[in-house]
Amino acid sequence: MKICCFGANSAIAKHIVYEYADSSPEVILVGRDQQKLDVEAQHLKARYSCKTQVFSCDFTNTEKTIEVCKTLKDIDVFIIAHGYLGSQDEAQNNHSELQKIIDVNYTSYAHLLEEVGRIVDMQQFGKTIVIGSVAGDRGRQSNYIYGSSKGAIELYVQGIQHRFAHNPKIHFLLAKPGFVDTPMTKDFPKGPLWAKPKAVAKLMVQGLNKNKRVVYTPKFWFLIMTLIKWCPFFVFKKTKL
Amino acid sequence: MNFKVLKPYPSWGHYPPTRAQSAYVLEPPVTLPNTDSSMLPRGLGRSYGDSCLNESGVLLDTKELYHFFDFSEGVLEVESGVSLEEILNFAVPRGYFLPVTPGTKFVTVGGAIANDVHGKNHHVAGNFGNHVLELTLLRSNGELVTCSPSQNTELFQATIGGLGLTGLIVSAKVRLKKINSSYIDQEVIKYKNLGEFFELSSETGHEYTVAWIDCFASQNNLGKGLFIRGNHSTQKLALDVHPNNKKTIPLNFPSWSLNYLSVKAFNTLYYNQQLKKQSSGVVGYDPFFYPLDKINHWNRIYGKPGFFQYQCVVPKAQSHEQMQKILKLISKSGIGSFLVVLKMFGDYKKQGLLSFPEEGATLAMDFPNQGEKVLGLMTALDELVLECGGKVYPAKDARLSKQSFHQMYPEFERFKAFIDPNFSSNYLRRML
Repeated sequence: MKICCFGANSAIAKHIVYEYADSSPEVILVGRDQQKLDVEAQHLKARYSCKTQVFSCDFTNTEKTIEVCKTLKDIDVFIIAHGYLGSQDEAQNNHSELQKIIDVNYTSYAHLLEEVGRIVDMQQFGKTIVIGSVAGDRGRQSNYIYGSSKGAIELYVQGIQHRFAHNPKIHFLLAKPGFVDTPMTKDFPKGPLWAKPKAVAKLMVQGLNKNKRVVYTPKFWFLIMTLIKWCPFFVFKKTKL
Repeated sequence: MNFKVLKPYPSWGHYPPTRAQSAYVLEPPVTLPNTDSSMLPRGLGRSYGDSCLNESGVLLDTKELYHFFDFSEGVLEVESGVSLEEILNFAVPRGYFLPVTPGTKFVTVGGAIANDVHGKNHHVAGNFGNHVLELTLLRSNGELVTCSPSQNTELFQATIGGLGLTGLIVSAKVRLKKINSSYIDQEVIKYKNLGEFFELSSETGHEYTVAWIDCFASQNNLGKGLFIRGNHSTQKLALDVHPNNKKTIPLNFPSWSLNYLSVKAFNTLYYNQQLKKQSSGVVGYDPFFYPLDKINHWNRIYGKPGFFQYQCVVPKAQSHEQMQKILKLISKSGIGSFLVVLKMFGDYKKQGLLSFPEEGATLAMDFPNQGEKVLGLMTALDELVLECGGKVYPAKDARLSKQSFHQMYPEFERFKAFIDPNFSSNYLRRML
């Protein structure tokens, strides 16, 4: 088995890889921070006897991203998991922050999805987990810049799912995690809605194995987001969400 | 630098009472935060007392330091946040086992070293620190120091059992033990009094020994209990990792639920669960070493006030006589628990300056926090322990007096020189 992980330093991505790791797959780690990728690669080798390969790549650098993708073949599972939460407040006043949030969370995903689409089309097999977010389900004042990027990914993934719908060996899953206790969210006060990356990763892999198109992780987010999505605007506008 | 107060970081005994604390989550490659307040490494928080608290400073949370570096010829090199559970999951299928394990697998390698933990095989294998070949220590001045029995020896000895105060243990090399079976051939012997316990303890041929005792038994039955001993199985040769079907205690029990009658009833039932004098069988490593790990948050049965754990060791020469005095005092007090453990430590040279185990008898038990009454009892026990040159275990302590501590650990004066100037803990401040 061969896994390719974009955003390999993200906590959720690592835990998705661990879900497969007991069978000692070959793992290709692609991410920005080379030093952290090396620690991860060494861990996969020592703990799980995986063969590993590391590419350092900033996904906002499209050329470099495409160059890395050109070297990939025979990949069974892709994981696209990088992300940048950014600051909504700052992005409202600073266009470079706004740009960065959209570039990392949407533009780079579009390029990567197209490359992954090309690869699976060539191979005629391959499953992909794309990390979206519950934040993409409805625009809210507290994080609509990040949220809209994640929402846009959903449309993109829908299109790709449509494109490969005829081939049962090709599958794309959009995973929508809620609050996850990861280094990306380490400055947030945690509460009962928070989940551990391991639990979230497990649900994503289960979803992929069942060929689901969308999974909310944990599942209760489906309920919460249904309520938020269908909340009439005259009520919604009174909330601070 | 500002630190977010993420969540309360309690000690396992919930005493002193839990307050929110500042914490900093470390990630590899590890650097320490730039701060003026004191730091203390924090693993899985299984220390019972205040050695894992640092209320005026910052906790260095090691949960993200879970990486394995290398495994060859039985030597495992891992980051300090790796849990013993994770090591077992890795090592058992490969025919290896922890060289020494405490009564829970939910502790980190860093914690096992910093408390120089011991287990049921102390008499043949010593402490965890005896199997640490090398460790990497990050000091607050940014220096990364490699310590081993032959390199930076003194700092190494101060760090083993050093309660996390000599700097952050980043990684360690530990020699694992080769096994042919992850099952244990176990014998349980029902014995009637302390004398029989010491006789059983003097028998050789068992790698793991421990006794559960009924702390309410008195007079001729003082110290009666179940003597449990075992070896890695020769009957069932399999290297299985045990499945994890845990039960959780969801809430704190009301504090009245554990009382003299309920505990006495439990003890009587537990002692008499076995009718025969001796029984034997093959059990997995999990029920043998970690019976309490089956129950998540078992500490909640003590309710909100929490509990104290008291573990002492008395030297071999006086162990019978002194243990008798100790058990009499506990039995008379009527305060007791259902988990009282007695074991003989062996004559094994320890690595750490502040390591707890000494050759002799060690007794460990829980006391529900009933305020003055139980504090008074423990102070009286301290006197009996001191009288014969014994010690109390810092990893489990939340109330020992400074004076008694210094009498029990004269090496503390030498240890002080190795404390990192920017590291501290509630425990250290209590003892300085």
